[in-house]
Amino acid sequence: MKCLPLLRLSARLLDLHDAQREPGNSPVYTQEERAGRGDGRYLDLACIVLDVLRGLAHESGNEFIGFDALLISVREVEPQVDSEDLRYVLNVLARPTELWAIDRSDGRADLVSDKQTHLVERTHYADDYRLTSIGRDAISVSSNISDFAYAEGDALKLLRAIESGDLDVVPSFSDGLLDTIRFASVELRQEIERGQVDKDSEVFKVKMPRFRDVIEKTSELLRQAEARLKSWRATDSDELDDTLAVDVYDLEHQVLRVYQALESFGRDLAELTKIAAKRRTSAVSATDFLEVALNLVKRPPSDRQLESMFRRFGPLRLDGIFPSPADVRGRVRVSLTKAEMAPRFETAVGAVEVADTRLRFLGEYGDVIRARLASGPLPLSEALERGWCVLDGTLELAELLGVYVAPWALTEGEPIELRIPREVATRSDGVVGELIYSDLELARVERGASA
Amino acid sequence: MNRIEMGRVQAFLLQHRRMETIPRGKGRVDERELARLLNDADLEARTELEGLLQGFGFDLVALDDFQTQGLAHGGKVFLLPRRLDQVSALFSERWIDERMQLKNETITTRRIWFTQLWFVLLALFYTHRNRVATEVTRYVETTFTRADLVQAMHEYINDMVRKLGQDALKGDVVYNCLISESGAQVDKYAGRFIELMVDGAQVDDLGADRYRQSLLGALEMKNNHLQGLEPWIQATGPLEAGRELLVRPSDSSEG
Repeated sequence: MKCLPLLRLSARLLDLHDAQREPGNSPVYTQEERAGRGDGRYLDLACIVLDVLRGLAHESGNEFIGFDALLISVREVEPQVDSEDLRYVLNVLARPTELWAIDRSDGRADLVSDKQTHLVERTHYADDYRLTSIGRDAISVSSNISDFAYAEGDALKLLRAIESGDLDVVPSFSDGLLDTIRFASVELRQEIERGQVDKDSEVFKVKMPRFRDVIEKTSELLRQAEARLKSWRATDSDELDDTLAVDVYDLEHQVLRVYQALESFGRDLAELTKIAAKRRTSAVSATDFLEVALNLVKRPPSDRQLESMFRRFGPLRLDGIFPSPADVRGRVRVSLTKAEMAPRFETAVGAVEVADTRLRFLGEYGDVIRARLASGPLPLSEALERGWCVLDGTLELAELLGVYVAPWALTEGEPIELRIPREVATRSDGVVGELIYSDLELARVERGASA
Repeated sequence: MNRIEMGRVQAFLLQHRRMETIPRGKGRVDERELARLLNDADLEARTELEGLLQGFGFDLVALDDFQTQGLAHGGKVFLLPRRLDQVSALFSERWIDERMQLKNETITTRRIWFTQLWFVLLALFYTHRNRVATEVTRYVETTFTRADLVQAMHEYINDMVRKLGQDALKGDVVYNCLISESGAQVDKYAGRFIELMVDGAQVDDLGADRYRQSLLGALEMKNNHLQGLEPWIQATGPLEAGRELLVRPSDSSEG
């Protein structure tokens, strides 16, 4: 940001505002020297701060920023900045000063005062800062861009830039437009939230129709800009790609984004207009919550009242307890009624009884495995090798694995232990196909070994 | 968004009550992904999810950076404010009772401290800034530190509570609880209280002992104050000053 244009604009006006002259005194202006340093030191720092704040507002959606973070950002621009100097500049920028002027806008001459002169806003309680709307205006005015009412002009500049092939400036123009739309949109919403916009208000009668008008015309310009970009790309794209530093696709995308933002602002505006039109002047002062608290001291609330307040406004969240059947596995015994416990007889005649696969598997291989275990540990690989995973010609790998998972199915008398190797083995043969597995080992616990 | 994704989005929202497509810093686990899933979801899936959440007692609200402050450029936030007409059965105030515990003081004491701190905090958020409950976007201005809250609470107790005469009291349980605090107690309770508010998504922790009202908190306040908080305040003790109606001069002149 350049501060000189702003100073040029306002220095003499400020002199007049601060004039010491009484009526009847000499007309010669004598206070020529300016008090203070002539090195521009603090002004420079102020410009850096405003620029940094603008950049941050752009990135974060008008967030406040802490002093330390601000100092770091300022030092990126000017490494030698002293933190006390910065604090001084912020103190000055954040402090409102009262200005007096005579307003002749509606035929009368009224003395009016304005305190909206601080460029930076500081939070009440913490050392946090951001630009005020005046601060943003200062930056905009200094670079000749103004508020949303002039968005049409900005879009026109964008269109002209594209038409004349001056594509380098397109990103900064479209970013500027996006910012303008965003701030206009949020500010309008804020005014309506404050409850001071109804169908008789200035905002409703003047500002909103003007916004609608601007949106309409700006959209049209943006459409043209986009079409223009498309044709750039279509006609002589080959030469363009070689000579340009920017990608035309990117530019199209950027222009499209501005267009979409504008469109959504238009929709918002329609919605806000509806809200404002329905609203009656019902602006109320802010609730005095301290008085509410004090009333609760005087008349302690009942538990029921407290609970209803907690439920509606209190900081509640899920404790993260989601019941699942797994929680009660092994802890709950299902009690059956007597009728269910009575043995059921199959009364149908001729039904073929199909033996359970597990029983058939154990019948087929149980003895063999037990016998094999007697002579030493049995790795899974060996069991596969011996073909103990095939039952009556079909692959029953699950049943074999079942033995490795629940070895007590083999024998009740003797404890069997399960050993798990660290490595993963692979195997591939015609029966089981490709297999990646842990080569588990079944082994009888040697009673004598541990003793 | 398929059913499984919808379930994940729903679980995340129920637990955290908000998610952003471009969260500050890294965000929570999966936040970015889930928020984008929801953002890209078709209308049908979105309606279905909204219906489900409504059954739980919530509205699903989406705001972008053109509608509120404090969001990243191009970002979008999804919020889950409570509905007054259907209080969620998933939550219970027991959480507040447990989290406000310092030693083995009674539940009543904990609730008193919570409620009093809560209204003092609301005074910081609204009354001191001359902000009305419908103003959501100004939530970014509400930054405070723990020391600010403690100081405000001390001022409230010393300047307002201690000056109450015994005859002004209909019951002295809250009064006794507050005036018997030893000085360090306010600080301890304030610590508990802020943690609770942060975990309950009512206050954002900005790091380095800086906090501020969450967008969700501001939105719930806007949605529910008229039908919820106002009547509650009137029922527990009507404000003596009443509520001023500010009428602009132009209104009276035009009829």
